[in-house]
Amino acid sequence: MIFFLLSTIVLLAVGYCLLALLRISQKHLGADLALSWFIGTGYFAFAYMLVVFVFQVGFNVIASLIIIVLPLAAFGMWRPKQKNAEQTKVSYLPATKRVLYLALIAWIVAILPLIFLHSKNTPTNTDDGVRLRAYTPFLVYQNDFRDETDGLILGNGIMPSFVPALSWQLGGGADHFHINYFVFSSFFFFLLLLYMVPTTRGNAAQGIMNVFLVLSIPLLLYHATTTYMDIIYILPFVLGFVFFSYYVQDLKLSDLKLTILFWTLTCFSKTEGEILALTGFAFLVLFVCYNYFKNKKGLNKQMGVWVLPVVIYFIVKDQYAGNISGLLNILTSVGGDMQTGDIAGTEAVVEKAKFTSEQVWRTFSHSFLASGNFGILFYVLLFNIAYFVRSIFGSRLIWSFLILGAIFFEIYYNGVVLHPEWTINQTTIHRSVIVLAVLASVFLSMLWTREREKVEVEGE
Amino acid sequence: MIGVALLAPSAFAADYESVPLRDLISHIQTDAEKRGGADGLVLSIDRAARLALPLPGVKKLVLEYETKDNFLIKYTTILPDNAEVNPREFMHVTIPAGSGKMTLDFRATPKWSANSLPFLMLNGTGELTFTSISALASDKGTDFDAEKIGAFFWQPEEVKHTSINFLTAVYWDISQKQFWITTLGRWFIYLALILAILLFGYRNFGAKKEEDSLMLSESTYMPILCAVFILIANIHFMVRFAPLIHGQVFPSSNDKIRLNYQHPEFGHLAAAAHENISPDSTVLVYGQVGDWFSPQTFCFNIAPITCAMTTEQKDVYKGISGLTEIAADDVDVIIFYHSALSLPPGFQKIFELNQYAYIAEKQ
Repeated sequence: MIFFLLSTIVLLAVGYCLLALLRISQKHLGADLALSWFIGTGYFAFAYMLVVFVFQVGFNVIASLIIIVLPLAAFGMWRPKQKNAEQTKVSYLPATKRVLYLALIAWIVAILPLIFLHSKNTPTNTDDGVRLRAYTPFLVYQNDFRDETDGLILGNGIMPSFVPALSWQLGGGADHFHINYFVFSSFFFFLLLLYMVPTTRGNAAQGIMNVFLVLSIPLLLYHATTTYMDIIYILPFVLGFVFFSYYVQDLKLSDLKLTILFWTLTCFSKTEGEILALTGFAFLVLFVCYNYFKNKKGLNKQMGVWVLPVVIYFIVKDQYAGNISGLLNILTSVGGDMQTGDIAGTEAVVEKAKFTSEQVWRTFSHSFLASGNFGILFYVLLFNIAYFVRSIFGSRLIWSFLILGAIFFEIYYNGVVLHPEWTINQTTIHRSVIVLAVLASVFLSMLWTREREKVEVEGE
Repeated sequence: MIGVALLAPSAFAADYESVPLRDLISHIQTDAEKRGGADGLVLSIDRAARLALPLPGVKKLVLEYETKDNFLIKYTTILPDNAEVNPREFMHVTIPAGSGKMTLDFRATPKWSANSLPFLMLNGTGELTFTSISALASDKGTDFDAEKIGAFFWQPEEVKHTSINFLTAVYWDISQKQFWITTLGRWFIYLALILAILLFGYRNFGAKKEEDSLMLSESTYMPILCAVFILIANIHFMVRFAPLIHGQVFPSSNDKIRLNYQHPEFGHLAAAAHENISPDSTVLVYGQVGDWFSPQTFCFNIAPITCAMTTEQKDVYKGISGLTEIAADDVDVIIFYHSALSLPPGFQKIFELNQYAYIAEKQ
């Protein structure tokens, strides 16, 4: 574990230097620390993707040193001088209803150590985990890059494949529990950021409620104790959602940068991450267009630089793993492939034909409302959407709500149209709903703790 | 009748009563070799054994045991006239080598009733000695339905390979097949509706009509109500999940492998492989046909040591995801786990749990 802690410190330092250089500091040590983890790990993974697949160098100590030292050196040379270097003063507890929030904090403090213990102590015991999700770091560590392995490494994602291997490189040996530590660390810093971002903006109530609600999703908690990588794309996507919501409200450039950054990081784990990220980017483009036409406010041209990493990512991945064609295959697997007689597409349609609408309803309603995988979160969500419908549709929360709706549609489409053999017949629907549950948690806390907005009236 | 006789002294007792092992031994049904000894009831198990205990309607059993071997015990209840068991009905406990005590709660098994018998599947190889058995018996006043509902409601979560996709859906009332979350969700909706109506009345007909009051009501009571219900669901989940938590504070990686896999025999052998096999070895796992888990997980636990898996003799063997290929002649270590294959000549055991689980090295 010592070498994993060492690699964590290294990645945090790298991330901290980058966030200062990119001028996205939240001006609070806690928030910046959590941000540093995501920026550091994302940068490391992205840089190594270029090193291995573009420059064909391989995973080695020199390359790791260069990747790590570059941002540190840049920070030393070009550290931005901040006019106001003071840290943001925050109130960590809300001013009112403190008893309620202290109770929620007590629950959080009681649960987190249990999750941590179980996470760090449980050996990988799932088929996918052993064969793929927790195995690609070993391929990276052994420098095993060839046609057969490239697809697996890129398919699992550059983040979960490259980041754990750093601690093995530092320690001179592989310990598969470092993958557990990587998953839990990402989860911990995610929770810290979920708390700190609203708190540094004067809304500690939202921060506490964010963490409490996210820790109320049983299946997510279980995933945080395993070496499955679904959680690794869920966390940055939700963080991107949080910053997108802030950007929609306040139109701050830093929030836009962080939205793009986190949705770029979402791509770095599994194909599902890419699909979610593209969904997020689609809504970002929609909002930017809406804002331009409504308020005549254009985008800063700097944003072109910020989307460059995700463009490069897809180009490289397409070269080495047929990525873009793979995504297109997923999107058209039923309609287009039926015409060409593709077997996979045909089977999907044939399977779908076996399922009645009652079966579909039963599967979805069981997952959302009876299985217990998400507690009673979706009852709470549905009621609050109905109760606060005027507030949602009359404010900029509508954008966050639309993303929720889009994700639900994607889950439905994937489960019923594309792969019913795995969802209606089997069980993977619950796993695909986790991201929606986490988004719903964050959306609910926004809804409950928002300041009263002026209701936007048509023509105002 | 035999069961009643064995439990007669406790027929009307609410406390645990000791079950006389000497009387029990002649009445238990098992395919394991059994004998009564000075220490208690000794079972000699060869890979797996079944055990049915003549204790009809027993609620719980506390078994104290001693063993030098590792066992996984799955348990449920069966009916005297129908011994069929659905594998999904089993709950499990692990028994690592050593001595200890386990409590089996049969009330959370589907067939538990006044006539049901405890049924155990003992997986492992070696001797298992039960030094004492205490039973919490049912009696004429037992409300089986009510106790079953309660037992199912609080039943600890069973972690399986499918848990990554879904956790156990808990019943509020198993007899009505009514899910807990559906019930709690309904209560929430009812109370939330009542609250919404009250807030509506307050907003429109209450003494204070200022916007601040409205904001306070909306932003105060609805979140509180939601948080309370969510907390109830959370507490229930954690009470059920807590018994499973691997709570060791500073274990080594080998200890985690040894102790925290579901089958302790697998865990011990994987830990031994992790400890004993040198990094430059070429390892082949001899596995059992149909066992998709163990061979690849052995290879995973010793990664990045070169490793492949097989259930039959070949010239070339493949590893995890078919990415590693090793020639038969290059193999210098074999991890043997319940395989039908024989150890090739020239190999000698360097670590052995039993005749089905060992590690051998080429001499």
